[in-house]
Amino acid sequence: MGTNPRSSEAGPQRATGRPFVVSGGRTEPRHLLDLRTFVSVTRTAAELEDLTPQHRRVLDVCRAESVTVGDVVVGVPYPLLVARILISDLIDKGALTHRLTVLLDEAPEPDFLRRLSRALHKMDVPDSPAADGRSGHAC
Amino acid sequence: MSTEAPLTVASLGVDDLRGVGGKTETTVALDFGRISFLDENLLLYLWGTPGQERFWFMWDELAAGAVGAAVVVDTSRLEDCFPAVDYFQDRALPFVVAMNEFDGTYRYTSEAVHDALGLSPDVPVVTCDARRANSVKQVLIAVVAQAARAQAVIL
Repeated sequence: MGTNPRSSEAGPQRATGRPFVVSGGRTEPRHLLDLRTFVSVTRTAAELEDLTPQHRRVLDVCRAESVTVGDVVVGVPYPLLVARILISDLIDKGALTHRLTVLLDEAPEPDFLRRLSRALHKMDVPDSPAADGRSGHAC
Repeated sequence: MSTEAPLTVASLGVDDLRGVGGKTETTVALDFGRISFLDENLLLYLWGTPGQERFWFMWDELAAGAVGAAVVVDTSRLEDCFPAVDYFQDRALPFVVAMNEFDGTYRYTSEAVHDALGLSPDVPVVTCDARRANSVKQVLIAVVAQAARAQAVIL
């Protein structure tokens, strides 16, 4: 669902290099990174010196509170796969930790649905395009 | 803010590039939004992907663990949403069909669209104007209601 206008300003900037160069020719991330996997920056990150500008860009996005792989993907100008590989690298280097907390095969709890429904009903939205929090799109 | 339990609502926009004249980019493959409900300690994740079949690999990932989905339909190109409708019916993921009505489009009744798409009787067809936040909110409410109905949960 388009929660943001599709203006070019809303999207990520153009990638600065070809995707396979950024990913070092790799096509498979080493870690399983669902779009809803939470990633957070570790203390180690500040000590690392051998990071590429692309890695640093990913790290910068991850510094915000409760960031998922999805947040990173829309926050950097790289394709989904490349973003995943960069995140995976950062996990290997100890700069990021990750955890997936979504139960993928279970239907939501009844109480969960009630809370969500209640929250949506209460949500105050202007009658114009709007979304609080982060949003964006990626190629 | 607790983030222990993110929720997701997968959604499929069938004609993702409509109305973006002048853009030279290729089809946007992933739209993303999140809403924080502080009172309820919930994060709602909204994912949108194009309806074309070549993006199905992404639908699988988004559908797993999703509360439900909205298939956003452009009534002037109704046939484009058949793959999306089939997809969710096959996987028994709760979904609603949202007719996107904006200026200049043909308008049909919900019943006509329901019949034309061959939807199961329990799948609701709602109308929306995807440019308006309040209208989109009503679609989300309908998705959650449908997810509740699928489990016989009374909201």
